[in-house]
Amino acid sequence: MEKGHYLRAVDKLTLNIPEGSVFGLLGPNGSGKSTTIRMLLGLSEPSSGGIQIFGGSAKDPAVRRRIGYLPDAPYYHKFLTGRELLRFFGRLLGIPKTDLERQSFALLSQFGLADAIDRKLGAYSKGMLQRLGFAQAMLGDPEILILDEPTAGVDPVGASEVGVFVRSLRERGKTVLLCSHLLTQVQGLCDAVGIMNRGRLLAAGSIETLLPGGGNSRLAIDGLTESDLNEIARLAESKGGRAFSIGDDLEDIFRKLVIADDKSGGAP
Amino acid sequence: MRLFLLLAVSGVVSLAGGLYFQEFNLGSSELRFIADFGFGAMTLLGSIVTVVATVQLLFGEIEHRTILPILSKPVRRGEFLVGKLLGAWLTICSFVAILTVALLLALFIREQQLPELTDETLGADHSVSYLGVLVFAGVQCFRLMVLASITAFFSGYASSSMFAVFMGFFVWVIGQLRGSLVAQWGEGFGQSVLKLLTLLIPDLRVFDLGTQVIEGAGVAPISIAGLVCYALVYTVLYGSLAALVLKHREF
Repeated sequence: MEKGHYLRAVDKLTLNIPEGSVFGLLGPNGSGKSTTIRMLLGLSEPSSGGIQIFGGSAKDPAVRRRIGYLPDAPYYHKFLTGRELLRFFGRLLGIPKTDLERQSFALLSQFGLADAIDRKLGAYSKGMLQRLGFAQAMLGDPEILILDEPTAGVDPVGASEVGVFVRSLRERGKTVLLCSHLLTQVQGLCDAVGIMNRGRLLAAGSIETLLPGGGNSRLAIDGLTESDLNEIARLAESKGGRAFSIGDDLEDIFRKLVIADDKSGGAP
Repeated sequence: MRLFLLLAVSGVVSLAGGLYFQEFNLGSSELRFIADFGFGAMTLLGSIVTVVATVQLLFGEIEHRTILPILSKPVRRGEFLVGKLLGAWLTICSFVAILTVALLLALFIREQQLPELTDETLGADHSVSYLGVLVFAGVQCFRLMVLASITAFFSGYASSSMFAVFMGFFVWVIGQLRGSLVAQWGEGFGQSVLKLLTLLIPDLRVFDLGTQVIEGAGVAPISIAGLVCYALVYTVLYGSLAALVLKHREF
């Protein structure tokens, strides 16, 4: 309730996420994505209806032990170092000390934070905090990963790395619930998506089911001469269609330039 | 942490300064004055540290949303609360310990200087029980534990840190005045109901053992045990209420 008015915080969502899949939860701001995630984690309680994870309640700590959660912003204690933060969360998970030290170092190294392991989080950049968030979510090797806006505030290179990481999770048989605004990325990553608005699930299913032509109504052509391209354009027009150059978008160019620069080691 | 250090330094400096405040001796012996000064610092500054530290430790986690990744791990809200209360109590006990050491040092130093002074400058009884100071400090830890528990209750409910801090200090003031207020009320059904209701607020003045311990009269172990039980009852009561509020809080 806010200023005397009742606000609808999610409404009649019914969602089924198959085990071992990457599920994208999409929707505009205020559609109820984050509230849904919080209900899944037992941080909020539905006033009616229910949530089951592995057949149990999200309120059960044993169920939450099997879930890794990446919040939509780095809500961590700034006075801790990267190593201390993982140690703290690892102890909450009940990981034995020696195993925890080994796991923490491996995860921090995997996410490129080995050099900053003993640096205070207050001195971490936004991208580093996001990578640290992934590391803490992966502690204890959870079976389900809930990623709330994993690319929020991350540059295109970082966003691309998130994509690679999510694909690797799918290959390892993890179930991933991904909440993102980068629709093109979601399209390429997810096995299925759910589109929410005002607490209702407008559509849900695999990308192939939701997009006409399985999402391939556009065609990119490479390696043809100018005359061949003109011929294809004429053919498209004769069939009632249209052929035009789309080229790279700004995100592609930015990502290519930065990656090339990283590979060259910053040489002019 | 900064406030903790600031108040700890203020307390220690005040006690050190107390050694030289001979002109403010209001009829008591110097040692008694120093002990009174130390007890006052322990109670007042300790209460400030308790309220601020508890709000910072509990409501700070809610306000900065650092509670979200914590509660997403296999941690029950009750466990989280108990951990925070123990953390607050450890901070409080450390603070009281710093001031107690400073007070004992101040008393010891002044006591060594006393034989050099003339009889006219001394009161009739200038001895202070060191054990009594330790008893007072121990009892203050329990008094502040009650205050921490009450502040935790308001922190679990609050939507701003200002509210939690204000309510913590408000209950502290009411708790200090409760005994004398109730004593002034007359008899009658309405007054009896009110008196019953006041039981919800702990009488924090019962922990003021200053005069008894300063004069070395000693406090019976049974009385101390009674005070500890009194503190535990209110700590458990308000701790349970805080757990209940936190359990139903939406994040």
